[in-house]
Amino acid sequence: MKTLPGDHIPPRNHSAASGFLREHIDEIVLVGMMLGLYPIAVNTQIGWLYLLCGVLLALIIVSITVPRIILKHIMPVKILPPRVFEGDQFQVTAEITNRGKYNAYFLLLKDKSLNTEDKKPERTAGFDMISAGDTSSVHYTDSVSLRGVYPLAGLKVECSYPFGFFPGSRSFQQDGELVVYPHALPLSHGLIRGSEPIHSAQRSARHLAGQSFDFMGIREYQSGEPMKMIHWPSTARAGKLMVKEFRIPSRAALDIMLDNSYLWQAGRGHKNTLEIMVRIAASLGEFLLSHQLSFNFLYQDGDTVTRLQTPGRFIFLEKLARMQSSGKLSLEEMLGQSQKLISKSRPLLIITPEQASPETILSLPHSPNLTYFLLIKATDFILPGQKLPQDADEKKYDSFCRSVNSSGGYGCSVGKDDNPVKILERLLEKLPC
Amino acid sequence: MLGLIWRKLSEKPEVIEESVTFRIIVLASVLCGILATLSQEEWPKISIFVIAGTIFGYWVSWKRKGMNNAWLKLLLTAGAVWAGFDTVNNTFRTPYDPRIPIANLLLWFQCLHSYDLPSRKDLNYSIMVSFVLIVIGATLSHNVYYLFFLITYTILVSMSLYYSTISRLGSLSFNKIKGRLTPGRIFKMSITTIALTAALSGVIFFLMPRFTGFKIRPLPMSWIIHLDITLGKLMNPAYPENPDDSTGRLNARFDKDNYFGFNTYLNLNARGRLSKEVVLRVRTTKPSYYRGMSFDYYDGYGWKNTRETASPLSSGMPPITVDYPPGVEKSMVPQDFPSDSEIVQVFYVEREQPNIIFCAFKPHLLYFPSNLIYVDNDLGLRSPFKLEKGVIYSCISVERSFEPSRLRPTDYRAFRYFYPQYFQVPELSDRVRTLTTGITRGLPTAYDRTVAIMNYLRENYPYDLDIPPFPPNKEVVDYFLFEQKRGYCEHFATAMTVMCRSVGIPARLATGFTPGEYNPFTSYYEIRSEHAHAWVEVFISGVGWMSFDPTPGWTQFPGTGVRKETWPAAILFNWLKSNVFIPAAQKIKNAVSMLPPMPDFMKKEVPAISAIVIFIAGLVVLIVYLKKKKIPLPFFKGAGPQDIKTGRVFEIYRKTEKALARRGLKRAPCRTPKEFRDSLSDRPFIEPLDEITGIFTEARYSGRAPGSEKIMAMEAAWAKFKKLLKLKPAAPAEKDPD
Repeated sequence: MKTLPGDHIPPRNHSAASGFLREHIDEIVLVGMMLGLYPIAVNTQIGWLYLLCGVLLALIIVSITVPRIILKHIMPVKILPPRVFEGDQFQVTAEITNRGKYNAYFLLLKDKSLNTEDKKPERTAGFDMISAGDTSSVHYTDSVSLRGVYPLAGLKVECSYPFGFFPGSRSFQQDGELVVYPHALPLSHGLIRGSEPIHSAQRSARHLAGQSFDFMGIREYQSGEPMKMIHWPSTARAGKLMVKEFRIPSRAALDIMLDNSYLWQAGRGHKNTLEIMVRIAASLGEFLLSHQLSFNFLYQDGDTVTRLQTPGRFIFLEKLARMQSSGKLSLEEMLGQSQKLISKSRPLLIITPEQASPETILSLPHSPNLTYFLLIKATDFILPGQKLPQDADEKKYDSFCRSVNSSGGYGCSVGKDDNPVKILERLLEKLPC
Repeated sequence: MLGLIWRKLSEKPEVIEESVTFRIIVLASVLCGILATLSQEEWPKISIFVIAGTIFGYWVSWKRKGMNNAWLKLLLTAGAVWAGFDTVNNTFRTPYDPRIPIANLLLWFQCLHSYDLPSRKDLNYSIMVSFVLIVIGATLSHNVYYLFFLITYTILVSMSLYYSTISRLGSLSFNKIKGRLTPGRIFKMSITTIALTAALSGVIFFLMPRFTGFKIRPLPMSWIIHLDITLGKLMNPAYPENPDDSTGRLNARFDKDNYFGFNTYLNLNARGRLSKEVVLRVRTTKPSYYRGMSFDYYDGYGWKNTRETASPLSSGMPPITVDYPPGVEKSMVPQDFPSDSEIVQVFYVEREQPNIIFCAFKPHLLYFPSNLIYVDNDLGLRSPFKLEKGVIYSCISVERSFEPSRLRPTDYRAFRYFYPQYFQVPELSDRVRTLTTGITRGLPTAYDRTVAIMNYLRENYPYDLDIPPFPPNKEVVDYFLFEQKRGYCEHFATAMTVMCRSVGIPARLATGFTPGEYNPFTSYYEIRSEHAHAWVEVFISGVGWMSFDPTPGWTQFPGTGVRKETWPAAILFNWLKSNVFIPAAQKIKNAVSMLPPMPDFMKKEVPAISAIVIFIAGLVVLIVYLKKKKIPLPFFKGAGPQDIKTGRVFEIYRKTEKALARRGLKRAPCRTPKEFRDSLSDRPFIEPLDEITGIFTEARYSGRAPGSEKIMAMEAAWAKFKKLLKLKPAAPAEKDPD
């Protein structure tokens, strides 16, 4: 990430008392001088000292009062794109509007942008003056390293007008959230013969040429998309650029099942079983959609299995962005519930961290030779303090894969240090589509 | 270790201050602080070095702001050590007034520090030191001209603080501060905020309580002068020759700047008005009469002291404990009372004075810039040299209070034996004796008789400075009481002294200064030449010498009765009372007295009429207030919200409806606000309208007053709505393809 001038401010790792002293040294000196001057004035009976004492007290009162009055009329707003991909840089705009009758001076905007767990420095932007009724804005870039849905962090505005002492500050909650899509890994296009990748622009061009796609809904315009895709009537209604989302009308070629049960989750951050599964699903989904192949997506939602039928790109990505290890079902239970949701003639890809027993193959709803297993080795990701079910054993993953392969299906395991791209490409070679 | 120190000295600051304007403004503030301090002294030799050195230092700082200044810092440290030693040396020379050494030290520190100011933090330290210099200057200042420095300094420092804040914002921000604040605008801003701060400072200054001070010893005094040129004799530069009592009665010498009472002979035929020139400034815990000398012999035309010389009184180290000189019978003088209280006074001589040490009676401890003083038989103090301008001395006097009703009739025979001079009277006319006897008849104690004589004079004779000279060979008391019947303080004091003596009460005439005028800014009592005064000291058995002032217009009991307000708020109130309230009340009273008398029937109804008037006035005030706050009144507009915030929400919604109605989009009475909003969903202003409708609906039907955030959101939506409404309406929406 690009380093910004504001980033040089080192984080303050002082104790609470020394931190307070460092932060308020000016104020402490000012109050100390005032309190020290008064007894001297009393003892020496020098009127000027009373006056200077009064000046210092007045200065303190003005310094405390004025910024707080100014801040009453300040309204900051943060503007972010609603959706981004993890790791990508995006622009954040922070606007401050002065709704008061008088000019506002010496404002310092503090923004953490997002409530992420990353230890990001606070962005501070200074404004020497914002005229009455005027708006000033600053822009900076940010990025989020992990997919998810992040609530916007509040903004804090500090005002140190007029003398720089006792700066007043006010926090402003920001409604809204930022959806961060998982990053899809690029896969080789030659894996699927007879099927060329199709881009958004082509989809739009086909739409304009009369080839019909299934209309799915309207979504906000993403930067980088062709201008032709903008749906102007919707844009006029919404007041912002909108595009239409289409679904490729073909039938689903594959069922992708993602086992997001909490039982076998291990690891942290990017090295987490769920993150690996989500990334694999995203990569696969993006690849299939770019080759005009649709799929159904199954996942656990509490103690039920939910199916997303032939989703469009952004709907699929959003679902993955919001994916949590909230499932309560074992793989066997999940397969049991999925009987009615999947077609027996369609290949089924199961992405799971669970060490399924060879008997699990028997509970499959259709022929084992149409079943593909991607086993994420949870034992590889386990961290101190984390627990897996008692029978967890790394060797079982391989033995299960062998069982699957011997029954005509395909199974492979993904370890912590494995390259998921290679494994995915191997898998795609096996897929009948 | 040395390597560590060298590395520390070689460290470069993290953030360099680049603003030249900021540096110039700070330099101006610093120079103002330096000048404010230096101007209180007679421009000491270091002045030019400090001023030029500081300016040069700022230039050096700017030029070397990003460089390794280790050598420079080493030199500066050496300079600071030298300044510290110099201060210690000076402090030993003047242990009773450390202000000058401290001022010198700060001046040198300020000058040395100016050579190493790379960052904002250093410039802020510079401002802080300049403030301390301003404080030191304030302690040295004697007059109101210091206000000029204070105002200038306040403007410059506030501008410096502005630049400092801008610099801080810049250092914290990742964005570039736009720099819309030009020096001119900053100057205007500082004037505005200073006006606000000054107004508030004034209020605080007036209300700030002022407790009795001078609790810390020692008290200030000038550097000790080892000089004795008077040998205990009175030395008055304005009256160098001792006038003879037999000459010059008609044309007695008079110097308007010097009181003729500070002399070996007080000629009662001297005429003239003393000038308003400030001669002394006094800082005291309690204002009182400052006694210079006393006279015990009256020759019918003037006063003189029977003992011209005084006895030496010395001390190795200040303070000098004041006591009667050897040869004075002390057994007659009562010792200290438990009820005695201290009066601390610090005197600053503003103009050359005779070698009289003025202080409140009775002096106890004296911090004087000499190890030797002289004291006369009446505890009058003399300096061994003339009091030149700039001499500072302090005195702690003892004030005696007593209960007059507990005094008993006194037999003065023993006292007369030791002090016959206090009973001396010339040949008096019978009418003077008769008058005095008549005034004091039947009164049991000497105190009662003294007070009776004093009150008689105060009540029956006016004060007049413009009387003609008394005729030659006319005894002054007789002529004053029965012929002239008016006079000035010396005539009143002479008359009372002689009248007291004529009825056997020991008395003497004292001269000195009245408390002067209090200046709340400097806290000094400013004593002018015209404040020179004469009063009477009477010996009261069991109490001692007590002061009485028979001159009308002055306080009766100078020893205990002087009360002057020093709290500025009370001073202001007293001034308003005497100059505004009382004259205004008098004028109203006069105007009312000119009105025809009120008819009887109206007089009966006055309470009822007053009640109605007050009720109507209160109602009007309430309506105006509610209107101003935009709170709808239930009896004017039907039931409405009583809360101010809710009122604002209603008002904005009403405005929104009106604005829409003007464009032909009127809400039908049967439609709810929500339905009305839904009907306009294809309009470009739907977003703010949606927000306005939502907040209004919540405020109207939820029963809760909206919070400040909602009000701000409503205001924001209203602003946006107005903006969008002014735009051309969007084209009708296309039909969706689906």
